Amino acid sequence: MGRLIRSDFHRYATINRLYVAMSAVMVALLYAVLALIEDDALFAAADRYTEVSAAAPSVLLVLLVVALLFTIIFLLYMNTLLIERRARSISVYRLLGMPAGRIGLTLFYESLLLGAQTLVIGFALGLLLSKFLAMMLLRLMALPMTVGLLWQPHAMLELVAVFTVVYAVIGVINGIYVAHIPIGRRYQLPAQGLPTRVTGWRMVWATVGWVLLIGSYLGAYNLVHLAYAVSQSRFGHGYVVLWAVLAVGLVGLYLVFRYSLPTLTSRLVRLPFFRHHAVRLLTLTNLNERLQRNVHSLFLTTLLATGTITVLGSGAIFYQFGQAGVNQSISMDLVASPYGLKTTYHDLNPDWIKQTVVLPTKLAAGRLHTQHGQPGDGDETFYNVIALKDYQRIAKVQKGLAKLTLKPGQAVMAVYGRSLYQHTWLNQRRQWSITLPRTGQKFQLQSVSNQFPLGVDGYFDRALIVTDHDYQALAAPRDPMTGYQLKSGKQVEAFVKKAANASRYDFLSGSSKALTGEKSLQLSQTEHAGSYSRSALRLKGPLLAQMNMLFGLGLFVVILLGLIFMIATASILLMKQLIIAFQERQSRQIIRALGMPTRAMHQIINWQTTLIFGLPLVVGTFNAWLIIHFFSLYLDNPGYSLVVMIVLIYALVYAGFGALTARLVRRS
Amino acid sequence: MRVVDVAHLTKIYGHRLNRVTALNDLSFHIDAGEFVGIMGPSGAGKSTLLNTIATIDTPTSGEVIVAGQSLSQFSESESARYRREQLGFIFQEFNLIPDLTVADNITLPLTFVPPVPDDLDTRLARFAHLLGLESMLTRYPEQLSLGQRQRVAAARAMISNPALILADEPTGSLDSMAATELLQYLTKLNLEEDVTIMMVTHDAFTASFCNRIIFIRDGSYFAEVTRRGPRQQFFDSIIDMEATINGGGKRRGPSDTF
Ligand SMILES: Nc1ncnc2c1ncn2[C@@H]1O[C@H](COP(=O)(O)OP(=O)(O)OP(=O)(O)O)[C@@H](O)[C@H]1O
Ligand SMILES: [Mg+2]
Repeated sequence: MGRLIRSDFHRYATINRLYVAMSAVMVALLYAVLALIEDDALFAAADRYTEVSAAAPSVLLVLLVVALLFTIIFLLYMNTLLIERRARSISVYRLLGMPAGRIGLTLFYESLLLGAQTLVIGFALGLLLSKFLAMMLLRLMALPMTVGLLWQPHAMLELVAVFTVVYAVIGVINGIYVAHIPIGRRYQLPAQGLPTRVTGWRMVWATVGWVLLIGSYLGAYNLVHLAYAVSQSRFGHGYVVLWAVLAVGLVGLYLVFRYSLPTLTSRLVRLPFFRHHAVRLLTLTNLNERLQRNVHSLFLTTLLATGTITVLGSGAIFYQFGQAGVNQSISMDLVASPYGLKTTYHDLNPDWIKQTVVLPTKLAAGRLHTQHGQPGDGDETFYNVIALKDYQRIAKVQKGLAKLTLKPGQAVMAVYGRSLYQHTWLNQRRQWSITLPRTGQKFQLQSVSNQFPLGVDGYFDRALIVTDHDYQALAAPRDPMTGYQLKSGKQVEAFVKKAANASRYDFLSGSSKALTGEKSLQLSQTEHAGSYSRSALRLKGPLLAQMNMLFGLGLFVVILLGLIFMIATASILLMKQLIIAFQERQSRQIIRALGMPTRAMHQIINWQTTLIFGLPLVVGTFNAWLIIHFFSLYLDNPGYSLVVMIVLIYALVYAGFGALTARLVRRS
Repeated sequence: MRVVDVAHLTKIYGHRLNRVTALNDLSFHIDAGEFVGIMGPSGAGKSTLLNTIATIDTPTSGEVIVAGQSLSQFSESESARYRREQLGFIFQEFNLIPDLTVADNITLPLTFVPPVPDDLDTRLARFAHLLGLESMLTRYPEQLSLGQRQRVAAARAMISNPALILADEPTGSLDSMAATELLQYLTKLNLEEDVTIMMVTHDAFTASFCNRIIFIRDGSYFAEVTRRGPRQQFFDSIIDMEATINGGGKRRGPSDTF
């Protein structure tokens, strides 16, 4: 029996080694996270910062559980791939009279042996990874600390216990599988696919697939408006649309993979463009066969790729949102209203100030007119009105504040959370205007922005930028803001801390008379029912630290999850390609014997790999983009640069797996 | 003119511990326009010989010269080109690509490297007609009987108009009617188009379509029989030689096979 194990090990050396390597990477990640959780010293040191870092271990624990479950599912799936491939030789052993129990036992030991290898390599890798991950976490959470390798025997023991069970279960599953392999007749390979004929029903399903998929894509792109329209009608709630679009999209995608793409490829195969070019022909027939025989693994990997890119991309967009949010809230280190200024002026040493910016504004109630029945129509609220020249002056120092040109009578509205005002083809922004009822002035809206000079926290609600002349003409109470850029230093930090703890607010009465302009506006320091408020003294430092903690931790979780998902996706594709390559070895030998140049054969392999890896990546990226686009709308477009970077890194690593696959297939 | 010149060809498989000498100092030559049969017991090295001539296997020592070119001098791309352009190969186990239709299987070798010949479809039609494959061009190999698959393999070997056809048991899976048809067709190619043919066979009846039979045993040249008179007489001498090579096997009456 020992000989049988050894010969099997030898025979499947490449694939076993890959299986061990992939699983070991997963184990390494699990170990690194567990070691992070169990490193009491690390989080005790971080504890003094905020409650976010105190919550970090429990967040990481959730991550660990998800990752562990996923790893187990991955191992089970990989195992079915690997065992199916050996069914044939096992059936021959059984045919020759080897008892099923013996083979089962062999497979059980083999599984434990592979598990042991995986754990040893995984722990070694995990130890190295632990320092890297810990540093990444601290860096993302902006905690200025350093750590070394995390050596946690306890964590190892826990993982050994879990994985012993997992590999034993896998061994038992294999044993049971063996007992059910048919003997007596020749074992058949899984239906060597005759390309299915294109029947009427298949055409119908293929068409339905396209219609559903494209429909759900359009729906997803215009989700905000669709949800709004449905919530206005009597059909139900807006979130129903979300689920509907998701469900229709999933069904559509499945139908496209199952029917539409194979129908397309079997049509294309008949074109001379493919028939008269062996590289193209063999690439396409291979794809066709994959679509017909392995559509589930392709669909699964596409979903995995979608999930991964979505998770990574949304993590990035939330992180970016956190960063942008801070800048959007407060664009300078300290921004104060006249009242806020009065309360801190004696504490603020003029030597600490690097730069001072003053922004004069006037407070007015205003009413928005959009198309009838459209979102936002008839909104009444308060506006801080700003002159264009002041706006442009601030735009020179504040990043992200777009330069504007305005004609008399035109205005730009700044609003926080402008997703409903977003320009899409369902909702063209035409002829929008704002009236200021108290003075009777009317402005054509030139555009809607989400960027406020000096940051949104200084405003009661919205801002309105108008020409200098219109600003002069407006008779309304003044509400100037002052922004400071501070130098760094111990004393400055102490000042910031003290100022942050003193919470002071300005209030503005939100009575209906004030909103319709019948009453003049009065700033006060006391709150009444329905008052609009804002903090009189706003500091960037503490807010930024808080955001970094929260979103940094989030991004870390997301990157790790993304990593695990990606390894799983790429591994499944790699294994599948390799196994198919083994099965198609004979076909390759035939075409080589018929005189196909080696270069052309390599081209086929490269194309096949590119298509098989590219399909989930491209479809997944597109799906994920729609989802991220939706988040981004709700988060007021914090910007895509980090998302693009992270997705590019993902695609690059993924392409690396593809290149490795092509290499292994060429050598097989 | 010599088309194939095999000189001191030796092929040893395996390493030090388990060596198999498949070909052992084998020498012979074939002239242009010959239809040569290769016979010998199972494991004698017939397939190995054909594979070596087809550059699918490389010899351990010795040389094969085809149409004046030494095969051992070929680079990989040159031997691919040689297989593609000068050679037609009918394999012992058909070797059709299961994912391609019969038509695509037949035309495949012509599409490896552009440009594709303009008369691709007329050639396909001609060979499909000759081998009776017209009605099954859009089917897949799995949907064909073994004999039909063998005919597809034959069509694929012939479509590139090769100067030399190597056939490894081309009639192994055919009934005597179909076998006769295929053999008559090969004979016609040989006579009218001057194609040189080397055919491995176990079957004396099939062999009797050739003009010369080379017998090999244990990888070495054993004897040869050349056709001089009528086919029946040739057939008898082949049977005699088979008996000799097997150390006195049972002689089958020609009437069974005809
Ligand atoms: N790839 C290989 N590795 C090792 N030995 C081989 C290999 N291919 C063939 N042989 C051995 O070389 C010898 C000749 O084999 P070959 O296939 O040429 O015989 P053959 O004459 O074609 O037999 P048959 O009539 O049964 O087809 C045999 O002993 C065989 O076992
Ligand atoms: Mg043979």
